[in-house]
Amino acid sequence: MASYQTFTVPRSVTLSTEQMERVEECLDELAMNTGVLNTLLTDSTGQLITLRGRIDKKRAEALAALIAGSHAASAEFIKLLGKEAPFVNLSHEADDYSIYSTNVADVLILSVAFGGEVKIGIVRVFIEQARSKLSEIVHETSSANSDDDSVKIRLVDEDFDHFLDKEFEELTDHKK
Amino acid sequence: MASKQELFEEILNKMNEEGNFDAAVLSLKDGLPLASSRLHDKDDMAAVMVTLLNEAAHKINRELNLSEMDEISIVGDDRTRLVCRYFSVNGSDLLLTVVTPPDRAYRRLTNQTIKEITRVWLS
Repeated sequence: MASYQTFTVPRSVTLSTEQMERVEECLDELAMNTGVLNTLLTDSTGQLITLRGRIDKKRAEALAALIAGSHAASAEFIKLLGKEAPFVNLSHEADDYSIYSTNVADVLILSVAFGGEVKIGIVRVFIEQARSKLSEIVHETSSANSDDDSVKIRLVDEDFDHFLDKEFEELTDHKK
Repeated sequence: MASKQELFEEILNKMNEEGNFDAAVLSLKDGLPLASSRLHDKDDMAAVMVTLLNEAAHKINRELNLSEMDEISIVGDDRTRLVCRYFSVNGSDLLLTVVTPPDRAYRRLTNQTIKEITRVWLS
């Protein structure tokens, strides 16, 4: 008998030019208040949306994908512990360099990289302020585009090929 | 332009110079440091230790039904004093911890510093 697994496709977010300007302002304010070296805003799949700091774009993209992976892994740890996945902050601390990242309304990830001279308390306070502002912007877009809710799909483990063939056939028939 | 941490540190340094204080730390209620002056590598530890003090003091406060706490002070044999002042800004509970030399006045200077920190926080 075929067994099914349920996957949740992350919700996407579309920002208008005006909203994007507000996002940029919010990130500028965060960088100014904290003195962090780099700020990255990505979606929950790790696609880079915007970047502050001197980091090379390619490295930032790789970093964004890895951070998104860490968030996804943390959400799964929490599920395995029998809890609902809540809002997650992740902190990676090294002697001279640290990364702190936070989940924004389940659709974005805001991350900052900072040197040892920046106090973690400052980062936590001001990233929380930024998260709150960004959440407001995301909620505006969600209410404007109610189709953006997360999509749950079920995939078959054993009959996956058969399932895909059928879907393709239906699609081709429909086109004809 | 200076970060908030740099601005807070300037304020703490100014206070230390004026009062000839030994050290100062600004931290969150849970012990995470925001800025420090003169404590160097011990500032994170000092902020956490003050949090332990804070927890005990709050428990005493609750059990004895005392009014809202304004400060905790520990005075040594030599009259050196560790003062921990409580205040809130914009929903964040903060602690200003200062180490003062024997018999040195500190209330006016710490009040002034709290006002300055609040102004910078809200700017």
